[in-house]
Amino acid sequence: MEVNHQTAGRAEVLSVSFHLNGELVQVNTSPVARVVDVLRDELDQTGTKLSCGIGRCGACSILVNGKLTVSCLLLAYQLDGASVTTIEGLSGQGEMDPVQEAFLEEGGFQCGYCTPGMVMAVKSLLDSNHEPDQHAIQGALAGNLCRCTGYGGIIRSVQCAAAKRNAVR
Amino acid sequence: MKRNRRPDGKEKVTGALKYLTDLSFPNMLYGKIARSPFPHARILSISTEKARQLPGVQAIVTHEDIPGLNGFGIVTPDQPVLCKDIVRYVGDAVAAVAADSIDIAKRAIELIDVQYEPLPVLDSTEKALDPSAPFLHPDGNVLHRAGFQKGDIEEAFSKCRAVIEETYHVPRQLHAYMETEGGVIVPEKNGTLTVYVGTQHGFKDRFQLARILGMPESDIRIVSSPMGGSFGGKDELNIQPYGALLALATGRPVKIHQTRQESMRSSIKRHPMAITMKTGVDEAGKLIAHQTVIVADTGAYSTLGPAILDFAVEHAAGPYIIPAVHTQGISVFTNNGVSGEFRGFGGNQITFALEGQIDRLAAAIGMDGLEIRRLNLRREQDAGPLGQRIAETNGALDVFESAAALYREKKSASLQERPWKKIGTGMAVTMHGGGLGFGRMDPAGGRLTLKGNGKIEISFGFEEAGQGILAVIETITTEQLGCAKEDLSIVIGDTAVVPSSGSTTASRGTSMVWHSLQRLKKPFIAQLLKRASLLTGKERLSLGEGGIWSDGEFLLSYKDLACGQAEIVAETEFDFPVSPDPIDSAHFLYTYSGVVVQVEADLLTGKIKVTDLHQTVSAGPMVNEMGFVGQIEGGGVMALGYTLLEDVVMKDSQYVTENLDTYLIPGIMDVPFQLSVEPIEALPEQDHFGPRGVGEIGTVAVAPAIASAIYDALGLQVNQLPVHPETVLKSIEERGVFHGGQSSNSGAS
Amino acid sequence: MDVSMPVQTVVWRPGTLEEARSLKREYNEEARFIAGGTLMQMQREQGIPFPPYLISLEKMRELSDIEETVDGAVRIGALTDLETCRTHPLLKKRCPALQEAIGTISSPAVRNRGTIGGNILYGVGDVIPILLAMNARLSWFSEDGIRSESLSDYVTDSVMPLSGAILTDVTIPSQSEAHCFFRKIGRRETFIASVVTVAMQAMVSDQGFIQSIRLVAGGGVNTPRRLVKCEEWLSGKRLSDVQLTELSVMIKEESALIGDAFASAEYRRTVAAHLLVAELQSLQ
Ligand SMILES: Cc1cc2nc3c(=O)[nH]c(=O)nc-3n(C[C@H](O)[C@H](O)[C@H](O)COP(=O)(O)OP(=O)(O)OC[C@H]3O[C@@H](n4cnc5c(N)ncnc54)[C@H](O)[C@@H]3O)c2cc1C
Repeated sequence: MEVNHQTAGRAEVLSVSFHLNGELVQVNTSPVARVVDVLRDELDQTGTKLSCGIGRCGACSILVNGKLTVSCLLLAYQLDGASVTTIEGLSGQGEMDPVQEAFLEEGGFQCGYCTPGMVMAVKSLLDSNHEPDQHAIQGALAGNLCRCTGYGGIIRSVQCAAAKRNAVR
Repeated sequence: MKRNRRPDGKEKVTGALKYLTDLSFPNMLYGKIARSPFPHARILSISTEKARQLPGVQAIVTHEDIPGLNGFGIVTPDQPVLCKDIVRYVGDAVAAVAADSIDIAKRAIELIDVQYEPLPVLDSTEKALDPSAPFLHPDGNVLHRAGFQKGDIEEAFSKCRAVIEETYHVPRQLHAYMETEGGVIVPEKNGTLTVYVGTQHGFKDRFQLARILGMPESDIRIVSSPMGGSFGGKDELNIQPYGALLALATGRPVKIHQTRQESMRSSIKRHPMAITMKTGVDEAGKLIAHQTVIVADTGAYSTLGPAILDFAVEHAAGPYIIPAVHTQGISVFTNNGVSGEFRGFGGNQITFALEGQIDRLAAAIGMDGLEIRRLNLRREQDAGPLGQRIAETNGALDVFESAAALYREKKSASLQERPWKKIGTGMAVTMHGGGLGFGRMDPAGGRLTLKGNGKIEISFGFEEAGQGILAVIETITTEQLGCAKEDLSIVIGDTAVVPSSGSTTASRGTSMVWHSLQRLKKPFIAQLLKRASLLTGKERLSLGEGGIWSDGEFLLSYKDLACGQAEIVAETEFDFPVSPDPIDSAHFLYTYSGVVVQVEADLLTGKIKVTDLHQTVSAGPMVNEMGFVGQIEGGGVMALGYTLLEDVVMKDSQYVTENLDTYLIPGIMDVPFQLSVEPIEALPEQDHFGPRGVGEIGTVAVAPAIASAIYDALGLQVNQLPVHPETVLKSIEERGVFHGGQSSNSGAS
Repeated sequence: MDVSMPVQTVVWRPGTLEEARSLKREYNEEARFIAGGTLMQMQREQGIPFPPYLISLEKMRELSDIEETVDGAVRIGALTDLETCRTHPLLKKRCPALQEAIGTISSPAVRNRGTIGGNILYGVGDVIPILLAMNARLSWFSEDGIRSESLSDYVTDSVMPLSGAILTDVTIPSQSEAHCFFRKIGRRETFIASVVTVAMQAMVSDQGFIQSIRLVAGGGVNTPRRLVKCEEWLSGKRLSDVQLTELSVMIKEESALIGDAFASAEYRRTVAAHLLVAELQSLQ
């Protein structure tokens, strides 16, 4: 069969457009550029961090179409038409998300380098589970490593964030 | 008041904070470092010709391009910046490239042609100490020897009722800070250099870089905070020299941010040690003889190897009072990477061995582990471990009694064991010195300024690596001055504007901030009040929120006080308190911890899970509860990893573990869901040394407590970290715990 | 050495299987299929470069659904992401052990993107043992049309991936009464590669006889395999008569698991035996 190059969507330098924190953006990049690099280097959204580069730490976690995703394993072409939320998108107009408030109050961070990814993972958890128990919290954060806190402060932050959100609802 | 939010918190949780690896500058290039693939080899030739032809390559530097000293090292600069003749580990740098993109730089590194002649690899301390071994350094393969002796050890052993001898092996631990080394080095128009790279001691970096670059220190500015973690790992130089050489060569900003693999390969690690201890007790269970031999694998270069060995030697008898002590340590050069500073500084290694001895002795003489400790622990007035006078506290017994009570409670609570599981409870205690120790330059200092804009600026040369020094500074300064946090501006981490405070290491930050404020507050407040009373004509003034108060009434804002007048400055310089007794490297301020853990051992797999981790810590008054708890919990979990998971595995001096998929730090599921920390804040009345730092103490005594819990559960005495499930499973099978401990019909295996 | 940069990878995103197949035919060795890309990107980071052409399968929506077939089997599209599998109501009802297995794979973020097909083609994926135990079958879209083979045949020596076939779905036959068991041991509690993974499916009669049983062991670099000899030995026996010590020895031997720098062969085999034997014992 003849390949119809048009429909098959061939791309060498790709112009990807996607929604980033609610705004439509367009980037010209290699289709196999890592999304973490596109965000940090092309779009100067450095809240998303890079630490292991192989999906083993969660520092680069973002939401893609509402789903938690590690951006170091995601390629630029996979963003086409997607809706992306990064840590920068959580605190619109200076107001923080309850998850962020909770991290502040409960000491859910120290060096802060895992924090953006961690906050995104917690956000993803609480969006689908309003009263996460131990099992749910551990499961949801299993892919996010923190070297500073020993997770104590993070767990307290999740519990506090859940309480905050439930109080608002 | 004690649960203050951190001043750097909002920026961190919103992702707004720019770490130094987040920075970019116009015209910026990307740097990469070519490192040796061989752990030990002679360099025959280096050809950069091909790489230079690659479009987009802007500069390549080798040893020929170093204007100053081709060497670095905090104490002894024996590590080449760029190797010329010999490479001594697989992280040794031979060239560096600056290019238009990371990909081009990466490709250029592949195109650099270095011819090596492999040399015999010294992949163990035994090999390195063999008389036939080649010398890694001109003076041979011994970096440092240290020792301590008191009493007549042979005579003491002859009087013992029981003697335990054991060799303990502890692994090479990775700091695993989440932010790998990196930043941007910017050549300024006026010929100076600004280095935006994290470190624990900006002024030391400046000193070292000036020496390498042949530049005056005053032409170099180090911006060094914030950092995404350090734990001792970023105290030594890492990528700074390469970025600086490339920036100078190209006249353009150069960014280097190491990948995790690059970091793994080049970074320093915790010293692996083999510690042999022989310890004896008398009839009553008193420790009377304690002999220790420490062999530390210090890797290819010196960095802080000697000081770490000294620290381990000092803490060999820890908080126990033993009349005859004989300790010998040797730190040995090998081709196994580079070992250096790491939270705990040799204390973690030695404490695992020491507490292991205590447990074994207790078992040998049929004495309770608590009893033997209570009998032998130091009292308030006892001298320090090297016989030096130390700041008196009852810390050792305080933490012990608290931990002992909890231990007893946990042990007697009859827990339902799940099928194929065994539960065990364990405890350990320790003491840990703060500051660099006697005979080492350990200056500190700080500065308070009433700025023209009415802000009270407090500045230190300390660095924020996540430990919360900003919160500590804010809390202590507002408490001591009486002003509000809104009145403050805190300045750290920039050699252009901060006073020298010494390094942000050795649990000294909190302590030094407090001491600085003790010295600064009087002269500073006096000057402010003097001006205020001149301006207002009022008396009985004090500093308060927003400005000057008189008899409970607000009088004058800091802004009005500052307006149009000269800045008011108070500055202090002093040394970290040391023992009045001139004993080399001896410490004066100690912190103490008592740890209780519970583990669940899986009889089918040999895996150990820590289900409970409690630490009681005595470190003087708590400055900020959140910071304190965070340090202890986080340190505890780092130590949990050290005990059960973490080992930078090397084979033939090559790294087997290259990233976080095989080097395992604890995840959320590996730690108890609820950690517990109890501070003991009490100090003797006469103590005027204030809060001690708690950066390290939480990491020190966790390993032996876990080991003791494993013994309780399974009867296995581990002598090697990390505890391997394989070892545990073997022991389970040999002891028949597997068969005996389960339902009657136990046919499995 | 050539002084130039490596060629830029081109990505194709065909919308149909036919298109994908003809692209593969055209570029042949120079092209690879890519699904979620998690494994391939991780491997690229570890030094295995992308080929000049990638053919993404993600646009083919029909490959990412989960449904019950007319004969009561469960069919999972190869492009279904692992997290969808882990939470899907049909799988929850029919294959809870599969969901449990998937829950041990990586992290939520990776499972959101990585596909079940990718995990199977990984060769040592943690879904394989339980799927083997449940006697799953694979369907391929190949040069000669749709081909189906048992997963067991695939892991022993399938040529499908090499021949450029596309995995379209995995089917799990209906076996509602069977007892299923899965356990994975890694060096950490979770978010970790397997050291040992075992699975079992057993049908035990009311009288306590083993009517049928499948045992599987894998882990690390070991391709998961059925322990056929052990299965035969157990079949037809009364559970309570089984000499567990003997079985343990047999499992160790037949599993033939090999070791690496982190866990020895002996350890892996022992643990595989312990886990399977303890589970059988719990059924007694
Ligand atoms: C951080 C991390 C942790 C992990 N942990 C685990 C773990 O604990 N346990 C475990 O089992 N696995 C683990 N994995 C592997 C993971 O399960 C796989 O990455 C994932 O399932 C692969 O799916 P994918 O769609 O991303 O595959 P891709 O990366 O897209 O493809 C993988 C391979 O399969 C081929 N391929 C994919 N789909 C098809 C198809 N439909 N037809 C033909 N060829 C195809 C590709 O050509 C490629 O060769 C881990 C991976 C990562 C990155």
